[in-house]
Formats: sequence, structure tokens, C-alpha cells
Amino acid sequence: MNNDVEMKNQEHSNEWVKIVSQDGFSFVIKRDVASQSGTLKSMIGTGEGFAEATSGVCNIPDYRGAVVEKLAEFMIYKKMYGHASPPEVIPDFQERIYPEIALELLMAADYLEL
Amino acid sequence: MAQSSRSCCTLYSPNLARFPMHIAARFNIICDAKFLQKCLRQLPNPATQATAVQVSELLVHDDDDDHKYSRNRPLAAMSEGAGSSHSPSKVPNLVHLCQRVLAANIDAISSFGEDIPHRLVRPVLQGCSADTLLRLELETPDLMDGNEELWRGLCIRAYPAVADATGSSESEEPVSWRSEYLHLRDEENRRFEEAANRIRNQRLEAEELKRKRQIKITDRLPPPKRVRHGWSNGPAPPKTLFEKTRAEASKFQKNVFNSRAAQPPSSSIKSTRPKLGSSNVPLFPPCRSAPVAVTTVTVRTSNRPSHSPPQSISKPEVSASPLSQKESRPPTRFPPESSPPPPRNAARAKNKDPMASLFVPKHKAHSQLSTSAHHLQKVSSG
Repeated sequence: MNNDVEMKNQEHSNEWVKIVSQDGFSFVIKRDVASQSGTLKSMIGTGEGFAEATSGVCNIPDYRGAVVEKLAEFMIYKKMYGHASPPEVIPDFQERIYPEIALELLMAADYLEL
Repeated sequence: MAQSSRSCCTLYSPNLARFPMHIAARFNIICDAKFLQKCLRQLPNPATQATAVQVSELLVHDDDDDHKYSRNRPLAAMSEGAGSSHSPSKVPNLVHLCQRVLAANIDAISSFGEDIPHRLVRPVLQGCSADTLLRLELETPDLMDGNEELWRGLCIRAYPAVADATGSSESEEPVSWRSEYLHLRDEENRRFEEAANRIRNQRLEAEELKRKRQIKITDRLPPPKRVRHGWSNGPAPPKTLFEKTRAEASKFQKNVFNSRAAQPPSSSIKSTRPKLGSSNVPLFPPCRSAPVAVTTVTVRTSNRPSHSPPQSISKPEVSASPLSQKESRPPTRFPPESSPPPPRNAARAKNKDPMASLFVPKHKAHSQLSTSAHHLQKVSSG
């Protein structure tokens, strides 16, 4: 129980996480949004004692800002429509993927398990 | 062990994300039933509770595979299962989305780069053409290893005959489908070229034949076909232009002269003339520079009765007479007509160019007016 309370507090204080790209761009998103990605979730998770967990900052050194921005966009999209009921129309995300970044985005998505 | 379970939890019940403990489960830490119960308590939706049961089942099974793959598998299954009643996330995988975008723009891809794993690229390459595949392989040689299956598919699709050949005996299956494809393509190109050449030659030959039968423009005259009626000698030997012109001119002169003779002669000179005229004695031109400058046959338009007004004729006649005495043969002159020729001829007299109307017939073709033959007969009798 104590643990839980602690966790909750920590959770509450760390509602936002920052994701930093290779070229220094940083994106601040909510923790639960960031948790759409399996990798990120593990990184910022507080149970393991990763550095990111305490600092709340994730570095993604392999990909540039444009790619990470699209990743953040997708995570929000997924959070919004993740559990949408059937009558609701889900907008298409494919048309929002720029072909120029598609290759890098593919590799990043694979890395982040999105 | 519980890696797959964790990802299941994430997708099926995002509420669980708030619990940090299950994240730890990802890293080979045994998660116990206590944790699971906690999760279940947080799930308000009965539907998601059902999935949680699934999760518990997965917890039992240890899965120590490469965690990426194991994670991917359930993920994939979940994202495709959009129609299930459990209503998992309908949001498709970003990986799949990217692959679709890449496949749509495959022609724009110059190279895949060095780092990308083949399993990611394979779906992108599945729909592309043989040329694209060749090009990409050239750019990224590492990709060639995993493409055998793709080449096989391409080969069979393009040349179905090969499929029959290899299907019959497995041993004949080529070592490299890629080289097989290239070989077949070259053969086909060669066959096409041969066929094209054949057709081209045939067409050229046909055109050549046609050209032979076409009308050709030439300067040479064809031999005269028309046989002159009434000649006692029968068909004469082919005449040169010179002789033809001469014959025509003499005939014309005869016609004109005789028609004139049919009209009442106004002067004594005229009366004598017809005799000379009937003998078909040629005219003598005072002007030698006329185009038809034949010694025997010439028509001086100035003296032609049908074409010149009476007043103009008198002058040449005067000048002609001294000339006529010089010549050995009596000149034949058109007798000047006091009576003007038919009005229509006066109009023609205005014609400055003497040779222009040289061969214009007096009457229209097929006209019913009296012909020269009649005049001839009249004159000779008279």
C-alpha cells in the first residue's frame, strides 16, 4: 500500500515526460500518451530504476526531430482512438505520414514498438 | 516471461498502464497472482475483464523468445483483430502503416540504407516490379539474400511456363530464381526483336511493290496512241515533236484559210489566193523570230483574217508583197478582208501575244457549225 501511494505521488508529479530527438528537439507529452509505446513505457517506468524514470526525459538518439514529432503525433492518435467504439469513425493516419520520412519512421516505429 | 503479457495488458486495458508494477514484469520478474488481481480490480469494463483472463493465461506460459518478436506477434494479432467483440484498439500498427506508405511510393525510393532489417522491408518489396527490385538490390546489396522468394514469385507470374516446367520435376528448380528471371526476360526480348524485324521487312517489301505501280512524274512523252483516220499510208512511223507541230499547224492553217475563203472575197488578190491556198502552200513569215519558225508553215497573226481588223491587215500586206516576190515559192497570204470577220474575232484581235491563240480552234469542239471540210470542197469546186 505504501508503495502504491508512493507510486501514485510519483505518478502525479511526473505527469509529463520529455522526449528528446537526435538533433535536440524535445517534445513534452503526457505519460500515459508516451506509454502507448512499449519501449518508452519501460524507459519511463518507475519500477525499474532507469534514469529516465526519475528524470522523466527520454532520449531517442537515432532519429531526428521530424520523425520523433510524427511518433508523438501517432501516440496521441493511438491514445485517443485506441478504445473507440465501432460507431465512431477513426480518421486515417496513413495519409498523415509524409513519404519523405516514411523509411525512418518505419525503423523508429519498430524500435519503439508502436 | 511475462513480456508478452505486459504488452497484452497495455493494449487491452490501458488502465493498467498506471500500475508500475506490471512494467517490472516485463523484465523477467515474476508477477504473481496478487498483481493480476490488482489489475482486474481496476478494470471496470466487463469486456476488458475477459481479456484480462487471457492475460492470466499468458502469464502461465513462459515465453523466453526474443522479446521483440513475441511482443510483435500479439501486437500484430491484436491490431488486425479489429472486428472482434472484445474491441481491441482499432488503430493499426505504425509499422504497418509505414510499410503501406513505402509500398505506395516504392518508385521514389532510391535506397533502403544499410541498417534496415530485412523483415521490415519484405512487405514493401512484395508488390514491386522486377525492375524496381533489381534497382534496389543494386543499391543495397545486403537485401539480395532474402529476396529469393520474391524472385520466384515474379518469375512465375511473368513466365508461367516456367512454373509448369519446375513443378514437374523438383530437381530442375533453378539455383537462383533471380538469374532465371533475367535469362527468361532476355530471351523474350530477343524473340520480340526478331518478330519486329520480320514484320518490318515484310512491310517494306509491300511498300516497294506498291511504289512500282504508282504514278511517276516524268518528262518523257508516251508514244501516241491515236491513229489518224483517212491516211492512205496507214499508221505512219512515230513522229517527232517537230513533225507533229508541223502537221498540226498546216492542218490548222488549212482550216482557217478555207473558212476565210468561204466568205466573199473583196479584192482580186483574194480571188487568186484561194487557189494558192488550197495547194497548201506554206506561209512565209516576215518575222523569223516566231517560235514556230518553220520555213514551210507559219501563220502570221497580223495577217490572219480572223484575228485582225481590216485596217491593220493592209499594212502587212503591202510589206509582204515585196517579200513574196523574193521567195521562190509564192507566199500565201491571208487575203485582207474588207468585210470584218465575225464580231467575236474582233475581240480576239486585241490579243497582243500572237502565239497565244495559235492553236485555238475556230469553232468549239463538237460544234455543229460548218466544218473546214465543206469549205475545202467549195473552194476547190469554185
